[in-house]
Amino acid sequence: MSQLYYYARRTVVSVLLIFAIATFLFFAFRFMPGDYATLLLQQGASPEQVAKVRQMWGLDQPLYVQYFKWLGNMLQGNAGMSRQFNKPVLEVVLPALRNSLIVALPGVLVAFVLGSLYGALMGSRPNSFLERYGIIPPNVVGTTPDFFIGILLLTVFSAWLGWFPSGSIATIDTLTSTSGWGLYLTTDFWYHYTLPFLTVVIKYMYYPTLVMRGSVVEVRNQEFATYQRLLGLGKWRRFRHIMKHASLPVVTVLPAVTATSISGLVLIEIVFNWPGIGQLLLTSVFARDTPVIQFMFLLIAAWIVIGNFIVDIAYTIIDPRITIEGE
Amino acid sequence: MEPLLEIDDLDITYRTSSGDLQAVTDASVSIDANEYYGLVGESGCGKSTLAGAVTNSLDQNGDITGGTVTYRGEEIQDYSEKEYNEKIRWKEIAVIPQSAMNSLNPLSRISEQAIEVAEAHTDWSDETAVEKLEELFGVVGLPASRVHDYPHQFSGGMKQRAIIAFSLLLDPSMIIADEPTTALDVIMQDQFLKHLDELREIRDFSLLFITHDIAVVFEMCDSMAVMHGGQVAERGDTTALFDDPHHPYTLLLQRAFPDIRYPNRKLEGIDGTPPALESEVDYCTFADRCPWAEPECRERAPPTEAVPGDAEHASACVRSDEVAELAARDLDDIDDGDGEPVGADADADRGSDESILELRGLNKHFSQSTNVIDTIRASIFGGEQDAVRAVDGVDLDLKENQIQGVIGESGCGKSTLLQTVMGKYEPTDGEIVFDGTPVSEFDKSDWKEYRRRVQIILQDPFNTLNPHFSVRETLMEPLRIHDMERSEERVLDVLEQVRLTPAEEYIDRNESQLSGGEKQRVSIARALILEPDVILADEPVSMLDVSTQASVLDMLNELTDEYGVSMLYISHDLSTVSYVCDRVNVMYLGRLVESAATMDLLDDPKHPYTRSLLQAIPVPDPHHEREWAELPGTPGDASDLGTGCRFRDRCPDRMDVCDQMPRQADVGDGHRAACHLHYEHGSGGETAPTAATDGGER
Amino acid sequence: MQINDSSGSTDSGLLGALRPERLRDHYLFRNLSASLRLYLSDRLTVAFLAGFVLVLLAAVFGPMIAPYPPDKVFITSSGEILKLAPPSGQHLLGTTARGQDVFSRLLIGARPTLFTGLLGGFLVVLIGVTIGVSAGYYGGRVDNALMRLTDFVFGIPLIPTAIVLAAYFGVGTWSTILVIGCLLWRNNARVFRSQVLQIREREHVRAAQMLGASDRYVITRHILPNLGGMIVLFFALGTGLTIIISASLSFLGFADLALPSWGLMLRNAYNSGYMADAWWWSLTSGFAISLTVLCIFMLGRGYERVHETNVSEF
Repeated sequence: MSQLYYYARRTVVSVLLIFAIATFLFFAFRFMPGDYATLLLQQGASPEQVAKVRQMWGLDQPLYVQYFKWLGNMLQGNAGMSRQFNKPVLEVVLPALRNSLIVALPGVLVAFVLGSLYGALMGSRPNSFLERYGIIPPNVVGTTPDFFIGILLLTVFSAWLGWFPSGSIATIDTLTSTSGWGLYLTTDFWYHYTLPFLTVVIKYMYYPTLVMRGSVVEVRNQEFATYQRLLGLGKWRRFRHIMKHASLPVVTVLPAVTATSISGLVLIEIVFNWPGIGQLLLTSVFARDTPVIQFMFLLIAAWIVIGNFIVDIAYTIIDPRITIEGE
Repeated sequence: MEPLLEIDDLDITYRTSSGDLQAVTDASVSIDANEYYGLVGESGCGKSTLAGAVTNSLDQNGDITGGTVTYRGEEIQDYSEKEYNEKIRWKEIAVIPQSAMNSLNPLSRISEQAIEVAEAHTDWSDETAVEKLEELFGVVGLPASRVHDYPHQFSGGMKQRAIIAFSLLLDPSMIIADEPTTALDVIMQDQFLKHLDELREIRDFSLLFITHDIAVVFEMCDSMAVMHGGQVAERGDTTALFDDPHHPYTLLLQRAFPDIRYPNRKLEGIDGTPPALESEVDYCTFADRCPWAEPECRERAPPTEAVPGDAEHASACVRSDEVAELAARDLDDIDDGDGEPVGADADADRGSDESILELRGLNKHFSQSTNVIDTIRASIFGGEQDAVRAVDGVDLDLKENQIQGVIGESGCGKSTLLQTVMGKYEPTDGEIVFDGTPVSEFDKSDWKEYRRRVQIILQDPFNTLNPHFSVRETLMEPLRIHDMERSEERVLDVLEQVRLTPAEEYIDRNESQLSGGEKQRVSIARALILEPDVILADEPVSMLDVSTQASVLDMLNELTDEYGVSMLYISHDLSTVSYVCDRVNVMYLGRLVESAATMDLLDDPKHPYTRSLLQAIPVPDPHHEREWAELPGTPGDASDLGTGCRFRDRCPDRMDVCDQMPRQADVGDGHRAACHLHYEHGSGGETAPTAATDGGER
Repeated sequence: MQINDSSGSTDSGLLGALRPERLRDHYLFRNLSASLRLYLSDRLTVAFLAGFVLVLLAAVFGPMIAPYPPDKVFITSSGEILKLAPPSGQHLLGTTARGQDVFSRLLIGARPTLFTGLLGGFLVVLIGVTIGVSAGYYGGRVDNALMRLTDFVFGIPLIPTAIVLAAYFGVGTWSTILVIGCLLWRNNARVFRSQVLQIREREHVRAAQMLGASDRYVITRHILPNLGGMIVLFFALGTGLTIIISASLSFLGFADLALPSWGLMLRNAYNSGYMADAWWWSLTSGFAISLTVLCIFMLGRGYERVHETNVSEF
């Protein structure tokens, strides 16, 4: 029973957790001061107009009625209407999410691979120059705000050298001539893509580098590593074994980091004028477009929950010691 | 015949930020083919460093600064790692590391790891390597079918054997075992030694056995060397060193070692502590601890000279020829139990009739699951099926001014027992009665009083003291907590009680300025300063060097006599337990299986487990032929135990009735055993005043 | 602190400890001075310390030593505003688009930036230590509840949440620091907890518990002193991160516009559109943030060397 039971239970728990977060978000946003209607009021709408708007969105109904309506809609894949665009939330959020993910996911993955390698290299050379001073570059990057990395890259490669455009996802021409996924097939898009992508890579290398370095140092001192040296296994083979062990903690943090990277993209997207969820979040916040914001928070939380689920399963494959029942 | 391995005048230096430290000085050792060779010494004596030079695995900052290591006539001390790997490693010299438990890579199958080793040194195919491993699994008594398992699927004992199989993988001529048994309980050590011993019959190889335990060397090895402070003090045939030691250190080390055959013998510690490393060693490092040192000893390193009449036997002592005379003049004869009893039997009648601490049917169970779902499931489907019964129905009666021991392997529940008595855990069932009052009836002020009158001494001298405190602060702490007068006099007094003199010199020291033995004395002083009635001691000497052990044990004995405290002494080591305790309780998987006055227990053990425990203790005498304890398997864990006798799966005397829990029966003179062999069944006539709960439990 | 004369009068407590000769012998002081010596034996650490002291001096004395008032608009001889003048003897780091002296503004900006950081770092460590130590020391249900709380807080995306809270509840320096402090502790609470789990099992702690010492006594005398270095480390990391995050929020416009922090300076430069031309304006404030945080981080990391541990959890 165990394997199946475990996965089943994990799935149920994950779904429940997402449900709980969604509920929390629903009520949290209901209790926020200054909703869209009051914003309208501030902008000079008459109380009658506001009342009409509230009625249109069902904001005049009791909270629990609103909640169950919202829940029913969510279960049917309807996340509500965006108030600023007057379009379904999904239609607003999904294209932005696509634009964000295409930067964040490859960026974070590349950063993790490069960072892990560099960290491992540092950790596996005790008392070397690299171990002593190699830690400084990642720390310099880690202590620089991500938007400033973007600004630096823009200043140097766009303004001074003129190699790359100064922002946006593509030129107007490309945007009007393509639709949907077609955009990503144009060279113009990749031309615009390079600097934001580099910014993500540089910024997110810091974390895996440090984790990997510490982890390698720890694993290197474990008894099995000493024994493998006594056994006379080749350097590369031992390095590979150590990497396999040491990468476990790095894998563990991957989903959390991708999740934070999506939220951290807000700043990078502003700097590069990139139409992703970061930018959407900011405009939605200014417009008090609660359904959109709420849905984006739910997406991020769900991503963390699902990511952890995937990591747990990956763990059982990498590390035979982790038995399913043992938990 | 040319020796297989010859180490000649070897010097090894560690380069550290605070200067060079000479770890090994002028060491010479030679090992013949097919010889078992023991290298003995206390911690920091340089024995592992010496082995590191042979296996080309010195730490990065360690250098061979003089002398040669010759293997099969070829000097190998200057081999690069590559050269060593190609010519020597594993094909010629293999290693059994200290911690076999964690030495296999947990992420790979054992067969994969063997393939990797073969790949690194031979041109074998994968199949050949696996076949070879299967064959060796057979040799060390593991099922060949399990070569493809992961290490975590093996028990500790099985991993030990797998490591032995690994060391034999490429048929080496020499195996170096570095403290392979240090982390093991006595029974697992016994099994390990048994396998090594049996291998001599079927394989040809030399063994270099590095250990601090002179008893193991006397049992296992043909020749031996004794190291002190980086120097080889004495070397030669094992029996020669035993019968006729020519170095004071060898002699004193022997006398410091407990011998289970003579529990009444007085142990003699060696003064001082093993020396710290120095940049240059040109004197006898033992001189400061030697009762017969002469000025000359501190002026130059004594040359190693052969003992007349025995070319193999050599000693590095200027008074080498006089050692026997000096010992005869200044030391008492080693008594074989005929003389005045000092150890086990010395205080057989110590202890009054008044109970000070009584445990009645004490239980401590831990529930295993912590998550909500399992808890709900357990509460619906009943009971704590998964509970770990760490302590299960323990009866014990500690009299005033008595030392009682509780002995058992790791995981038997003895530490939980101690912590339950100390109030860290609430008993699941049963009662602790202190000085007539059940602990369950204590109110807050009673507890405070209890914590003053019952003190604890813990195991690890290296973290028993707060590194941020000085000795003064450590000893003031109990007074402070109990709002007592914090007088310096009191602190000085208690320091003298634990023989840290002159006390004024010790009181301002920091934790880092104390040796292991001194730390343990401070920790004992901390227990004594409140003038307690009961001291709970948890393995107080297990991490000390043997030369220091004896004096701490003696001190515990004397304190009991002088101040009339009682002590519950918990340990896995029957030799030390029998040395200090008036009465011994044997614990197995949460239950006391036997309980008797120390000498009764040693002379006539009733329970099969006690018998095995006694049998498994190495005897420091090369003339003594000990039989291996026949005790298959490991204790298992204390959760899924069923209702029968806990020991039945390993018991050589297993019977049908063992599926029921035996009760404790009196087998005469206060000697109690919980074994079906020792009481008649069905009659119910005989008296067993504190019979434990029997089979039907839950 | 517990030293008494033979008459037995007790004067523990802070006053007793503050007498010079007692202070010298006090265990905290002893250990502090010992590790400080080791700490400063590394040239690199000293360099970072010097950098940090420089920023600290700017934060304290900045307004006094600034060559010009930060808001003063310079006019050229021809009567125009001295816009975007490159660095010169007059203006060490040039002028802004509004003709203000960049160097002076940089000096003024140190105080709000550092102040926000230190306060945030303090809050982060305070909450982190409280939660981590409680969870680790008491264990059981307390531990479970606190760690679930930590997991929950880990699931909150930091910048978006800060943006939403700032937008809905209004912007203020204090509320920004509060939001950051209330979210960032999640990183160190786990580390403190696992440390306490280890320290708790040390024999000197068990011995003190067995002696009947109160939880408070054990925590303050045995647990916290052994966490000391790590608390400093996480204070440093928390300070650095707070500076970065509050700069980010300033950059997005969620900041008190009256406080001339470096983040706001960067925003103004970016929004002016002269970023590429006036590098002395846009890049200096960014580098000031980056180097300050670097110095603080590396000072914290010096801890790893002194205590031979690795804290890569951040």
